[in-house]
Amino acid sequence: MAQILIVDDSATVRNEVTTFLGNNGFAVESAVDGKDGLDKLKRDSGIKLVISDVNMPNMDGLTMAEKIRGELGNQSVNIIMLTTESDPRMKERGKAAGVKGWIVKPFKGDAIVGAVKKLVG
Amino acid sequence: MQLDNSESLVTKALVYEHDPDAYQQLRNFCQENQIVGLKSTHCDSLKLLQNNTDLGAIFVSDQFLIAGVSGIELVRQIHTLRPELPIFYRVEQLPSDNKSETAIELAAEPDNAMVACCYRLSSLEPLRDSIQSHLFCTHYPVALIRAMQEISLESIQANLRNCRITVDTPYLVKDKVIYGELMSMIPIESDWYRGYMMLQSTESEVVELIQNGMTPLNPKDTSFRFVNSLLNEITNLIWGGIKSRFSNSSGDASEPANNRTQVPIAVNHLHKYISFGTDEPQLCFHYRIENEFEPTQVVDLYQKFVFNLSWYPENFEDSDQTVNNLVDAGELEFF
Repeated sequence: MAQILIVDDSATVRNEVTTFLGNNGFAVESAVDGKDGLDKLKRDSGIKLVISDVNMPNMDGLTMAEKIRGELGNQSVNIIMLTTESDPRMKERGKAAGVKGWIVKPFKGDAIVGAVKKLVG
Repeated sequence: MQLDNSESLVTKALVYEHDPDAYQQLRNFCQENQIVGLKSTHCDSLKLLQNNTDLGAIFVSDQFLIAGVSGIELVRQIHTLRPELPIFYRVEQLPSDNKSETAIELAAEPDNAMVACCYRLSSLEPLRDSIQSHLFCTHYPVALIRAMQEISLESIQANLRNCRITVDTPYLVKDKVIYGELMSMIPIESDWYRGYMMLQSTESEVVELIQNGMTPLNPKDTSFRFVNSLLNEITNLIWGGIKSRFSNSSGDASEPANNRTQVPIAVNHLHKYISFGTDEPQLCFHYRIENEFEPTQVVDLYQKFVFNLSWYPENFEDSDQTVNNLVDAGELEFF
């Protein structure tokens, strides 16, 4: 089963998403911010999908997405943003960084699981 | 500006009144003016002011005398303890009375204004005017208040299960007291407001929520860091919702972020006090979260807004349609 990385500074969200996806048979790793997410992605080539918050300390989710494509040169990993942000300009920036989906919080577990299955299921 | 819909906001006031008839008259006046009067019969209730209160004003009678503390002495003590609270002082005695003269003198002298207003029951108009200028001086569009509450409730509900949540009528506070030990705070801003939103609660109550499996957290994750995380996530969701709904289309403040005014925020943990450098009342919502299966387990959550850096409600625009469009498009959007 595909390995998924959840990147969020909120332990509440990390726990919730891990539970939803774990219950649906996905292997989930977690990172606490964009910098941590980037480090984990560098070390683990098995990660197929990154679900990330946008507003995080140290490195935000959009910068992380840009670095995944640019600095790491990883064009294959799927990225979904899970955020309270709905600003179209942020979405455009995400698109340009190869973000595949945008989920606005508060979210339902079904939306996460459905998106993951569609992309890597 | 005055409040345009007086039914939408209330404030709480502590009333020190010795005369039952006067108290009744004052109570009626309070009801007519969106004030919830809380009668205080003992000067020990000064302790209330040091603890978790959410007051907007104090009413004191000059004839109030208990345990050797007179009305004017009480005014002095309250003013020392909570200088931000407006005190409305009832003076029925003739000007020849020393205490009354002192009080009126104090009120009249701007540098020494311990009382917001001196009044007599026979003439309540000055009191009404003073209340308007001290308490309901800020204009909050009713649609804004209602939507803030809806967004907040939705955000709280998204992080909790198996509970009943009730919300009090929104009210204004002036006392700057922090409720409980937990506070999550976030700057909120658009091109027509700038300030802060705070959520305040009590750690032990939130821990109970987690232990009872009413949150997305593991019931064993009860360390204060997890408790903080839960409150932060609710704060984050609320701000996201407010931003989506109330930021005007440009979404940007008129000036670049690094040019915008900032003021220091003072926090005094000993006195559970937070000041944003303004005397504007804070807009407050109180949510009561009750365990559906154990109604004695209750969490009080206080949400306070202070628009201390800018406030132009005339630019208020409810972009609910935009949000609806987003919702209609589904919670999930594929590119």
